[in-house]
Amino acid sequence: MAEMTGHRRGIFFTLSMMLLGSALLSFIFFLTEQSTKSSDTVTYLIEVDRASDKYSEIEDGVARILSPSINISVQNSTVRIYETLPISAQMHDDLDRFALFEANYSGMNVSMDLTNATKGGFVIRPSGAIVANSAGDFRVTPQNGAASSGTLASYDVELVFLPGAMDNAAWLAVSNASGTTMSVHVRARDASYAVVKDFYKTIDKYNSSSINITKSGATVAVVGFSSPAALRVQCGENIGLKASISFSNPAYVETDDTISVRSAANRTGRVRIA
Amino acid sequence: MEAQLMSRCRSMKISGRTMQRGFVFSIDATLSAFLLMLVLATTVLLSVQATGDPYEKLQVVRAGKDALVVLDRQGILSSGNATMVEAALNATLPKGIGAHISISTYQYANGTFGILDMDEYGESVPEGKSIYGASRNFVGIGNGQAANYSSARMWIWQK
Repeated sequence: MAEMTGHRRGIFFTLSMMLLGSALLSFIFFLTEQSTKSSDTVTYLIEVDRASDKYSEIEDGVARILSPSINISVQNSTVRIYETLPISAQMHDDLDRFALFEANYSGMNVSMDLTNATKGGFVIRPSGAIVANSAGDFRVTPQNGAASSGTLASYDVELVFLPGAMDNAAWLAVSNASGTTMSVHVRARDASYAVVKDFYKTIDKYNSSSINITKSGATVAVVGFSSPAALRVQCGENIGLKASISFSNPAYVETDDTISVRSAANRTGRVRIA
Repeated sequence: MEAQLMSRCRSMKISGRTMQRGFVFSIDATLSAFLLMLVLATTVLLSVQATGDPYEKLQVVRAGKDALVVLDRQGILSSGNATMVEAALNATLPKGIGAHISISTYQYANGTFGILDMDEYGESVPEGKSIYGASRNFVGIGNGQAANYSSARMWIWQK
């Protein structure tokens, strides 16, 4: 009987040791797994950081290259665009080279489509107004119907001509102000301030109004407003253009193109420049 | 005769019990050694994990990257002025973090990027310490156009 009790004790002792050993092993496995998960999380966070940093670095680079030709700034709900027309062909080359440099020297898989940015193409968010440049033409066009044009509150446009390049300006057409209006201010002047023409008006967003700028009776530029709350400046070359566009909500500006940074954490989107 | 047999049986029984005790003692010792090794292994593993905190790496890398962004946006990285770069590094990086920056400047000519300049700033990279890295590419603007393209590499460590 005494021997049986001794055997049982031995078995219980062995079992308890095995259980203790298993518990310790499980504890080690649990801690190791937690530690591995923690390391994986850090590695992933670093990858997310790397992709985001590269993305914002490219945004800075693009904005820096654009700034000598097209300077865009945003103050709350007002977007200010300063351009020297025609847009420099050098800017196009610089953006292409920048894309090439980033693709080869970034250490990441970076690709950029900056086709529209090289032409001065931007999107004002959240209204979705498209800013586009083409030869002798600058346009701001709200894209999403009333939701977009409805938030556009006013335009303040200044055209700066070379000395002696303009001598007069006058309304060509004025829409009657109705329920949906926006205020516009157009200034046409030459660089020496010898001629300065200011026009202030509250016009209908969904009708057409325009101002004709002339030199010895011949049209040198036209500033037109048309439905829906769109602006078009048609001009020759070598002018300075300042357009200040105000919205009823805070705004920001993106290029009308996308960039991609591919890594463990991909990031693709439009370049926010102001 | 009978007494001799009884005596032999008794001595065999005693030696059997002794053998059993020895066997149990060996198993007990083996189990103890196994448990001791297990506890030691756990302690070593946990202490190694405790010293290699992965979030520490994240913090150092982040500090380095932020410093590069600040230096770039202030135009200090592209200045080529060692005194300014080192003063800005001291002012931007947290205390107890050392840094070394290498800036390679490239110029685009004949369809390719050629190296124009290579500058080194900051402290020497120490040996035997965990070194982390950060990088930033930036464009140098001159006369209203992109004059050069630079790549800054930073090595950072905890002093």
